Amino acid sequence: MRILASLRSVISALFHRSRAEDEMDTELRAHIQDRANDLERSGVPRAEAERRARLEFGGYQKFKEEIREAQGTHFLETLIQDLRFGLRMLRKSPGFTAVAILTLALGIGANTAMFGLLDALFLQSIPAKDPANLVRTKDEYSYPEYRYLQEYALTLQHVVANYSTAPFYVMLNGESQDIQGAVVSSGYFHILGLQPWVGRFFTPEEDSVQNRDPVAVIGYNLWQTAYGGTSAIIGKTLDINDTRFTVIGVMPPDFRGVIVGDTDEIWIPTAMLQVGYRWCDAFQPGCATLKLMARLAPGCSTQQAEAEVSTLLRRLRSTTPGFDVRERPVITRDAEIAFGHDYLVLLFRLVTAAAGILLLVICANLAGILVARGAARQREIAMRLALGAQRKRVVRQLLTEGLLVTGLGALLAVPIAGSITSALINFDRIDNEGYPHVFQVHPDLNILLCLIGVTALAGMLFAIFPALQSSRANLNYALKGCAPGSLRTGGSRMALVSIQIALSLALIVAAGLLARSTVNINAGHNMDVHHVLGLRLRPLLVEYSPADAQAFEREVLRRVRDIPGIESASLAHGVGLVWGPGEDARLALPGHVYPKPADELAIHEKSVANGYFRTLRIPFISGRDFGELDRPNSPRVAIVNETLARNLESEKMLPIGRAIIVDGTPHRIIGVVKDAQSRTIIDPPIPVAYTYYWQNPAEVDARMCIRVVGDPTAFLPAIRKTIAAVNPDVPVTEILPLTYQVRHQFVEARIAAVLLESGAGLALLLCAMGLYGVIAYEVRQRTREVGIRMALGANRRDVAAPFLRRGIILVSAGAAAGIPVALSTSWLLRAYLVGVSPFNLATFVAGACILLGAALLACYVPARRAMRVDPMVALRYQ
Amino acid sequence: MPQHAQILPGTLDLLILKAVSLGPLYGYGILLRIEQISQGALLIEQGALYPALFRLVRQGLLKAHWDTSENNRRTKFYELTTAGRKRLRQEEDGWNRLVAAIASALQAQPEET
Repeated sequence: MRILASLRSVISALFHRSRAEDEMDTELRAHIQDRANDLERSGVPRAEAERRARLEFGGYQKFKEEIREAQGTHFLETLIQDLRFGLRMLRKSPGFTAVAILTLALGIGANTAMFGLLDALFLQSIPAKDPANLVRTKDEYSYPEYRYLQEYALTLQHVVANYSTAPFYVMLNGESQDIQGAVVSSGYFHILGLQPWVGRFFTPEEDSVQNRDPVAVIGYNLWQTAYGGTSAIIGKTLDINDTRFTVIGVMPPDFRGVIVGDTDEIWIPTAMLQVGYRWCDAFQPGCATLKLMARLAPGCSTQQAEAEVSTLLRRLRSTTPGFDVRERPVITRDAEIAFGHDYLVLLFRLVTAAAGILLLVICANLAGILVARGAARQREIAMRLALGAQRKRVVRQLLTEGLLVTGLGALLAVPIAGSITSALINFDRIDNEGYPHVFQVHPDLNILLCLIGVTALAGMLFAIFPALQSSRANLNYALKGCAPGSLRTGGSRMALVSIQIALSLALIVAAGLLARSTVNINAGHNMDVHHVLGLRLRPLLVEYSPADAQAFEREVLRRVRDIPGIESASLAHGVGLVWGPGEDARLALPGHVYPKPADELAIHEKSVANGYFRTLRIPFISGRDFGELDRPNSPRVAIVNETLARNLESEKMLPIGRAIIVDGTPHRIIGVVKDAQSRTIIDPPIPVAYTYYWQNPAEVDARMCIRVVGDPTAFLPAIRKTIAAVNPDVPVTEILPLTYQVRHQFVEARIAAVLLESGAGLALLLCAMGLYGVIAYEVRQRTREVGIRMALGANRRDVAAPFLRRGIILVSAGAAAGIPVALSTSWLLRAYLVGVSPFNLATFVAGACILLGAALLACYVPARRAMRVDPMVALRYQ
Repeated sequence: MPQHAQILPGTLDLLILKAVSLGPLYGYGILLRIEQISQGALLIEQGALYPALFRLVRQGLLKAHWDTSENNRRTKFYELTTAGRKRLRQEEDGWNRLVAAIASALQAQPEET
């Protein structure tokens, strides 16, 4: 109320300045008139009455001024005056200004970006109508299971199914294109509260009979890019995975699926699931591919729903054969959902921790800078107080300066937040299968404002303490430059800086280790994927028979190898990474008795074609590659990696020529290659048996690897044309240079690396700023001492030495404290380190050197100021 | 002529609130009312009234409006707001306690035995 009233008075005073002045005059004059009239009535002559009235009134202008002040009119004028003075002060000490503004801008910017990312990834729930009781299953269920739950579950209402990021091969403008889509229930749109942009969504009727209604809803993006956004799209046909669909509607813009990063563009009914899912018969009981969403029935908990679903599925299993035995289902509320991508969860934790720590350090640092500045200005403040300035006014001036710095920092924070946000979201746009993820992240204004508020508050708090201290200071002491209490602030600041140095060392070392690790990851282990293009052939999606599929792949491989500029080409099993260890398998040795199947050796099996090792440059240790000798019907052969060979050698037999039984099929070992998988230092190497692709008729899904001379993507058109010449209908997908796949393999480690590297950079900067603050403060405090010493003949180096020494002591103490911290953080990082020990001496030494270098620089700048002290000026100044 | 007392700092506000509590008044009227209720015992510098009035308006204790006075001139009238009435009661209580305390302190006699 009072605030409002005073605000109103300020505003009206400002905007009706002249009217207010007039009214004030009218009122005061009326008073004098009234008084004069009264006096006249009591017998005083008119002229004398007026004179006495004016006298009794007192200083007219003085009271007017007091009224203006009482009215609050002064506020803005004072503010402008303070701002002008503040700007002048900031210009006078550009070092302080730059450091403070930069600290603030980095802090606010980085935090805005980080919290914005968190908000986009984790806090924004899907656009459901009433998200509170919306739940999702963690696991996938088969179509019959879904229909059964939809019919019988009482704790769940409106059960809908969703198979997102389904591979759809669509003929668009005469070209086969790979588009991600989703197979969804008709209730999906309703439960999410979506409205069609154009046309309509499919009805429950169209989602009821298997394979009857090929209707599709397309995404806004696809509608715009492929059809130019014309409403004539409705009723047109669209061939999806060789099945003709009718387009009935367009999704609203910005909806790309229910999981963050999804890029669905086409939605078809679950009754058409067979079109979208080809790896098992989509309507069979054991083919689990659908995630379920539902609304909890009123008054039901997720635990009750889990129990009911579990019971229902058990009942279904006991009455109908073919269902998989399931673990207890996990049903979560939408708000609690941990998203499909594990690395996002990791990212979430790291970013939250980093953002929090960063904010704290920045507030602490800003506080330090302001405390030092407040102390440095004690003399000036004492002088102003001595000249009669009001304490309130002085404090207010200091606060205005603080706000000014915060404001400038906040202004600079906006572009910083923008660039950090775009760096964060562009970090892994493409996953290891070449599918893009779309993250709609914008620097959020609310977050920005909130952070500016927090930082400003912290700034104010720390500006106000030294200011108050100064304003109470004994003027005599302060003017003489020996204010008591200043030493204590110095001590706590030094402790702060030492802690920062210790933490920075840990961060720098961790960042260094991860950087080395990243280099090792990108280089690949015993292989070279530079100049290699990967792509996936999926003839099964267009209903090839397995035998025809292999013939097709052989032909493609033969023709691709003939393209000029292509060094070699091969293929491996389609799922997963080209050089990955393949799938879990069991290895048995002939003649051995294994009491339990679990006693067999757990290995990985990877099916590859001839030329695979040459293409990926995986070196042979002994033996030979697969070749023409190994016919489809001749005895099966295998190549083992070093780790597996070593396991076999422990049986005192050379592996070449030995027979092994991989998953029940006998193979003869014809070669040994080096381990090609990068492993973190805590993961043991993987034993891998490579089997021959062409000897396994079940292999139809192929991931090609093509080594070229030069840029792999430059060969893409020629390769596409060659494949199309064999069969234009076979989808060619997941095309990407293999270096991308390598990079993505350790995405957690890379995210950790980038975060820690930026964190270390910031920490180093903040450390240097903190150190600079401490030393600069000391130089200023001891200017007179320096002056005296110089007057007594000390040379410049002698003068600067104590400050540098002080800096070095601080850094050494901090670094010494930092070593155990660094050792333990490195130890914690083990799971992310590839090819480098957590206690790598070189990294520790390099980290310490970087820190020391930055520290020396930070000390040198103020120390140089001490060297430049003119003794005469310094002594007179004091 | 009664003896004049100097006005204590801070008591001007209380006097204004008290004067206005008896009915809306304009500036000069407030002055007269203060003189009247204090039987002329208190003298204030007349101009000092106005900064105090503006301050009280800004604090929301008084509200002001322009109206025509009895001698047909446009004049600014002040009256108490609810907050002002509350404040007046508090100040009165505080003042009375203070006066009582001071009075009893002054009446204390040195112990003569």
